[in-house]
Amino acid sequence: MTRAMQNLLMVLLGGAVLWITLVTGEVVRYVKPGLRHPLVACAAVLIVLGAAGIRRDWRDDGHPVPRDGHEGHHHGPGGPRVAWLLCLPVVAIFAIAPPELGLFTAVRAGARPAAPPPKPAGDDQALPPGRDPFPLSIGEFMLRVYDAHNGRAATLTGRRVELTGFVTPGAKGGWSVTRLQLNCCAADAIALRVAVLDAPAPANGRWVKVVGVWQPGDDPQGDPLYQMRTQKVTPTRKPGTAYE
Amino acid sequence: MTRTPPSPDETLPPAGWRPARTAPGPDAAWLFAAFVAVLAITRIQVAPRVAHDALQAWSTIFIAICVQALPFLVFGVALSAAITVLVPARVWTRLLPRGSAAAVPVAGAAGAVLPGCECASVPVAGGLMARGVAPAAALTFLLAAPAINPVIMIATAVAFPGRPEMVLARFGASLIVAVLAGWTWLRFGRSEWLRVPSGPERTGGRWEAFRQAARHDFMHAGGFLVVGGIAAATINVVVPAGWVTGIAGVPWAAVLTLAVLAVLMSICSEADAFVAAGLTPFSPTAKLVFLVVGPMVDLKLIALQAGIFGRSFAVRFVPLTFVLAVAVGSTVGALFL
Repeated sequence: MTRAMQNLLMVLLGGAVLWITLVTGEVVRYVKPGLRHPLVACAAVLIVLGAAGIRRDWRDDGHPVPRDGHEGHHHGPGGPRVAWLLCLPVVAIFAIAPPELGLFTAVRAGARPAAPPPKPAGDDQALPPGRDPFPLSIGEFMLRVYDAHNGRAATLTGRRVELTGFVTPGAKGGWSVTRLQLNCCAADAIALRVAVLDAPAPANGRWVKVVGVWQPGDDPQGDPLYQMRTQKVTPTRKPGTAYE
Repeated sequence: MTRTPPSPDETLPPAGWRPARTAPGPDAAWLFAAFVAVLAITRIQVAPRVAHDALQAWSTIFIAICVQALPFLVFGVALSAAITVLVPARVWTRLLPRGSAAAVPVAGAAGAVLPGCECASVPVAGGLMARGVAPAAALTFLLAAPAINPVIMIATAVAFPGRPEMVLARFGASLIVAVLAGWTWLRFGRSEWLRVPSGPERTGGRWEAFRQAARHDFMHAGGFLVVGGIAAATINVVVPAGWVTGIAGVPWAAVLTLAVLAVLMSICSEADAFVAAGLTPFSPTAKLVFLVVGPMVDLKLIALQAGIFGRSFAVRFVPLTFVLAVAVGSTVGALFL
């Protein structure tokens, strides 16, 4: 790979990152929103480095330019062949522009219930009074179920809550309202799901709001059951940030 | 820019658009323009038609890994280039004890101070060697830095709330592995196995040297990061997650599985604690092994190490660290967890 191409590739990669962070906002399909600022900074660094190299090459044009170092390498003057692979993320970002992970990933994760996410100890607070139904993230719903199951305050008893997620097929013909949660980036997404009882299943993958009340399991010694007795299911649009 | 003072007409940007000049600029510029045009066309024509679920999930994960690692990679490459350019070799030789055997644990402890992920530590270690640091000490730093730095320790503490022993076990086991690997390399390693990276030639001033070093390292590390991204995305989309649960019940199988999984998944060390915490069916010892192996041996690191230090280095160093990490990790886990 020639040096000029390497410089262009850096500019291109920086440009692709700026495209998904500043122009389309697609970056939240892939990583957590908090990475936005570091990404913009790193894109700027790439563009400055690449542009400085391009400018330098143009100015040195006509003069013998010393070859880059690394004579011991097996790559030719300039750069390694593996660097061409850096075109791939650029192509994937522009040519495929894949959506958020969703039904496919959630179904692939299998029926294995995901453990509730870790949380700081000592914050089993009651839901604030007033709002009915109370909108909760699926992760928080599961945390509160987990706490109640393990002998802490049963903060969900008697409260109507509203969960937003997409429909995934569940065990024994049932269905779940599901949301994917990112630990770091989409590569480690885990599926958080709550079984929806007493309601016919909408089409798989459909985004819905589900209003209902937590239904504790019959066996206090068994695993906690993340499920709700449902009162209302309404279709909704995919939220701006699809992950929890 | 510390190069010769530019003549007035050189300061006029952008030089790139004047047509009178010849190679290499115009060719590259045309290629660039053509590539951008192709991207624009595919964006409009192809992107809306890609509807295959598995392909979409694969691309999402692939892009996610690349994008997630990019800031750390750029930071690491810049840090390494800055070390190459700014820190004179005598600083390192003064900082580390004279004898290599003593320098190894000091280099390991230095890893506890410098934040950085494993993508960054490979070029940084290469830069250290190029600056005259004993290879064994630089390799110890390479193993320790991404495993025991403060950012990783905090991430681990957050991922395992109320279990400080997990953090301590990770710190201890990783440091032991790094130092043992360094000493082993010192005792048995041969210099012809290891290609000590030579910093790029200094042409022009410091900024030029920085730019060249950064571009060179980025091209290497970036290309191999993509290889790792492809592998991890493929495993993520192809291997059924349900297989995991069956294996978790058998202790030795669980440890080996998570060790191999850590290699295959190639997760950044900033992130692996959260993934480990999510592997609920597995024992704490297996998770510890996952956390010790991951930052030291994984697909993208193997590729990176082969790229920067040479293949004959990687085929010896990778098995050495893997065996050490599994052995030390499971011993520490069995004793303390």
